[in-house]
Amino acid sequence: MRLKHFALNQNGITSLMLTLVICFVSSIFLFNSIEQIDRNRILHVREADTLLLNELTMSAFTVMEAGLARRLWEPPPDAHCLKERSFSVHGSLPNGASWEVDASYNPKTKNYEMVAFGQVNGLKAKYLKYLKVMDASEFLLFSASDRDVQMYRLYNPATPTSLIANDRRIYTKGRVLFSATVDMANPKTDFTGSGAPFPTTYGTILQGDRMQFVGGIQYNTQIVPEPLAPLHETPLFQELLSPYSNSWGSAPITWGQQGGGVAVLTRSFDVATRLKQEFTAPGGITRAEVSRSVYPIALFGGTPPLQAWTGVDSGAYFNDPARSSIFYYTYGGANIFGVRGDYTCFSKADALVNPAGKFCSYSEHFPKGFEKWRKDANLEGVLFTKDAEEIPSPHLNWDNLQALEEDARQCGYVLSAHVGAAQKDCQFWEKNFMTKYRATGGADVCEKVSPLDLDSITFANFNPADLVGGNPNQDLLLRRVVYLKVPTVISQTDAKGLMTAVLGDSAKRKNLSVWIVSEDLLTLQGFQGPADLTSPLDVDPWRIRQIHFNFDTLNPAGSKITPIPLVLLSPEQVHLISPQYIPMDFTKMTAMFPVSGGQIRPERHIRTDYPRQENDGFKYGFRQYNLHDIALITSSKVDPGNPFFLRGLWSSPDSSSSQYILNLCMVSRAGFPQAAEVGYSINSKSILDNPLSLSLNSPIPPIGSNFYKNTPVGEFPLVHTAQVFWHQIVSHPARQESEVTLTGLRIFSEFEPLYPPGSRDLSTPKYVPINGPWDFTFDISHKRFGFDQPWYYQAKAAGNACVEANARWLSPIGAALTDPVAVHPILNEGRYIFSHQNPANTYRNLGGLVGVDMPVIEAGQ
Amino acid sequence: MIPRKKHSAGLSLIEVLASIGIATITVGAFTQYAILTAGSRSDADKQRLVKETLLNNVLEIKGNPISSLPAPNQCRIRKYDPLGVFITEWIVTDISNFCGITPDPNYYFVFTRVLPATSISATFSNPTTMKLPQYSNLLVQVNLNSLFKGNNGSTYKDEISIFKR
Repeated sequence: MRLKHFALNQNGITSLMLTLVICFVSSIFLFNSIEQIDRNRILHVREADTLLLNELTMSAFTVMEAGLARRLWEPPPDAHCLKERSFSVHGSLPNGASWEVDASYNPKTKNYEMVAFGQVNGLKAKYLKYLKVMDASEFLLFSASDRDVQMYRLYNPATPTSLIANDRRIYTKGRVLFSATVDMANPKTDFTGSGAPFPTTYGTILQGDRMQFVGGIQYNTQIVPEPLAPLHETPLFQELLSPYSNSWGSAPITWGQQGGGVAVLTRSFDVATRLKQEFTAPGGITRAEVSRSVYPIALFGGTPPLQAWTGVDSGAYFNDPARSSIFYYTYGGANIFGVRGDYTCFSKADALVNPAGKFCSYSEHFPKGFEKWRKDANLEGVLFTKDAEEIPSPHLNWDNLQALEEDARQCGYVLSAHVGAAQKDCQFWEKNFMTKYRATGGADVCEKVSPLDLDSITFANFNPADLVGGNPNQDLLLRRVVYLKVPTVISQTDAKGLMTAVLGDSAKRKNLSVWIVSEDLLTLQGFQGPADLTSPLDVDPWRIRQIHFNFDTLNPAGSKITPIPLVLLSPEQVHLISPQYIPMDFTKMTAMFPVSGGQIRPERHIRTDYPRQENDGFKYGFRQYNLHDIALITSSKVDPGNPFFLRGLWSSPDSSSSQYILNLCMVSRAGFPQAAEVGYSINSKSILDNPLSLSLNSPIPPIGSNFYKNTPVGEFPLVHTAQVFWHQIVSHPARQESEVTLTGLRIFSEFEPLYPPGSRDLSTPKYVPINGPWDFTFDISHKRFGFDQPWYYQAKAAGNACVEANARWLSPIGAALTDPVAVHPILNEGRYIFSHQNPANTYRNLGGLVGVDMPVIEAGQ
Repeated sequence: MIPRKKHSAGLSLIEVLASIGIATITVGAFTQYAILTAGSRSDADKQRLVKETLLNNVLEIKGNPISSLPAPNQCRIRKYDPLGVFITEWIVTDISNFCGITPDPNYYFVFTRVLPATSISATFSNPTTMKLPQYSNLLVQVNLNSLFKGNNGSTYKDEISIFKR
């Protein structure tokens, strides 16, 4: 090899330079590429951080929403007790992130505009969200539980039941059941139809422009007992029902449906209103106008008797009440009971629990039939079951109550302890109280009840001028909360209504919203105007006396003072008492319910409670209790069909068999043998022996009592029950109950079980009314009876002890040989027909109830 | 045509060797750099993967009811392989940040813990009338932590919180 081969030449230098440049450029390019890749990695990581920050920021809305939900979606009060327009919440997290939500309230739209900010490590996020608040007044009926909502019509065909919502919503999460058992004097012995008296058959009325029953719609079930024959019914009748009837004492195999009345569902406020008025002022509407709106007794076609288990869901339906067959007959073996039912269509007894079962009128079992009827009834877009979006269901809890109490302390009124005028009112109608009373041997464990005069309340920063229509502050008016921590009774003592001294101007009254929030028992006491203070025993027995609450009784139809828009919120069922109500003080309690040997041995029951009922139930009998402009918000544990507890003596004669033994027991007196009055069975009327010889604590009312008024001198009233009811029944043959009419709203909500220390679980009612021997046991073995009627019970000579073993059925009911109900004193007699009416259009802006989410919008940084 | 000088034509051996040397040094330097930084790039990739896993957990939590979350005195541990594939989950009562787990280079973990509304740090502008609920389960704060051990032995932690109704 020669040396010159290692020498550099011109071309080599160029090549080396070129190599260096290429390597240099390549290096720069490669390192740049790597750096770019690394930068992208970092960006991806930052991107992921941004997404996580976005999630945090969006979730921050829920903190503000939780704060608002605690307040039932109402803005907090400002220093003037008006609604605060804007407010905020902020916070930080351990990782250095921070967040804030600003809320602005629009009083016109009742919407919140919320802006959420978030930041972490130099990253920022911003989001916008709207939230719509539904006012409590938007619902006529709202039931948030799965519980069935029943629309009852009991016995009186002259009294309709109604849900007329106009433009408000009706929403129930559970089923709606139509339960009409009104008296229909049209017994059938075939399936050709009973005819349908108008309007009495059409007395269950529902109207709204949005009605949703998520659980479905149906008529209530009705047992089909085997008719008695041949003594009491024709063999033909028994034969007719034999494929479907259930033999006495055996488990049912088929159902009929409750009959004696059909439900009318309409979108027309005018039609619904005229139909309701037809019951009191005939001539305003024809049957043809409502025929297509009758809810079908069967959601499939055919000729009666229809069978649900063979019914084909083809879109046909059966909704002609004139072709429905109402059967009214006796059953029960020797007991001879009576039953009334619509037996146009039959279902298997397991139809509602068997997944493959079908019930005649259940909307969910025959969807095509239901949809066709809904279309024909012009209810498309108005009536829904589960085929529409469900409304968020508010759950109430102690947080809500505490927030309401905070509002009350700032701008309302709090009753935190009993006032000086509080009185003992022993809760003898209640299971927990009676259990304690018995366990303590009759000690004074009675609770006090405080009276509250709403006219005595002063609200902070209350400026009536704000209530004038058009005032700029009107949209910002705060709900005024009256918060009650102890059992309280609120009475209307002024004939013109509530709070008339505080606010007498109707134009202003209608713009005020007063929330009465009660942790414990809330009782309302209505007002009975002078015209209604006469007794049906003396004049106008046909006229049902009226009681009003939150109403001007002096000018009922004229220039009246308008009611105060009220909201009653309580986890307990709200009670209604009469204006004449006398509290059960401890003296009366021990006299009526003495305790010995660990048992309560009643001297009287509510039907003979003359110390308290003389000028109350004995004097006025069946009455109508009218509640005006009231929104009831209570627990879903309360029966939506019986939302109030009507406390006292409001009815008495009923169709039960037990009253014959029980009432006789409760008028028996030691040392006075019992015998039948001439011409009567002993259970219908026993001899009123030596009425002048009454003890101080006599079981029976003293001579001269309204209890006996208008009966032959020296005689008991029939079935040993106050005469006033019999006197009224002459004019109202099928009446067995009083009436409660609510002009307002009903809202039933779940209460949550968590509770603060020292408080109680709101999901469990504190007060449990005693409804029968299954709730509480008394000992009336010191009372005596006989039984001499040919039905119901085995004959007993007078003077037998009132113990269950002596109240023996003629034919056992299942395994039951005896009737415990016949020896169980009646503690409360408050059956009523409930009617719910839409309040006036001005009954608005009560306060929030439901918050409805709207979409979140990204709003940049 | 002018004939070229023989010694000025082509590349000499030294020139070839020098070029090869320069190229080798360049490639070597690049390779060395790539090798030296590969670990941190791998960690960055994994960091991103873990954040995406956290995000997926957040989205899952948003779409499910509060009842699907662990109780406030519990910690839910989810275990993933390095490619982000879910392996298993379990609940423990250790509610420290990493629920008693030590980092493992073969897996990474996501921890979910729930704080009741009473433990949420939030300040309202109207503190007397605007408060968070105490007696309902309607609001919780969900804390999610992640943990993994990097190639270089470092331990990587991440944290995100959301609120849920």
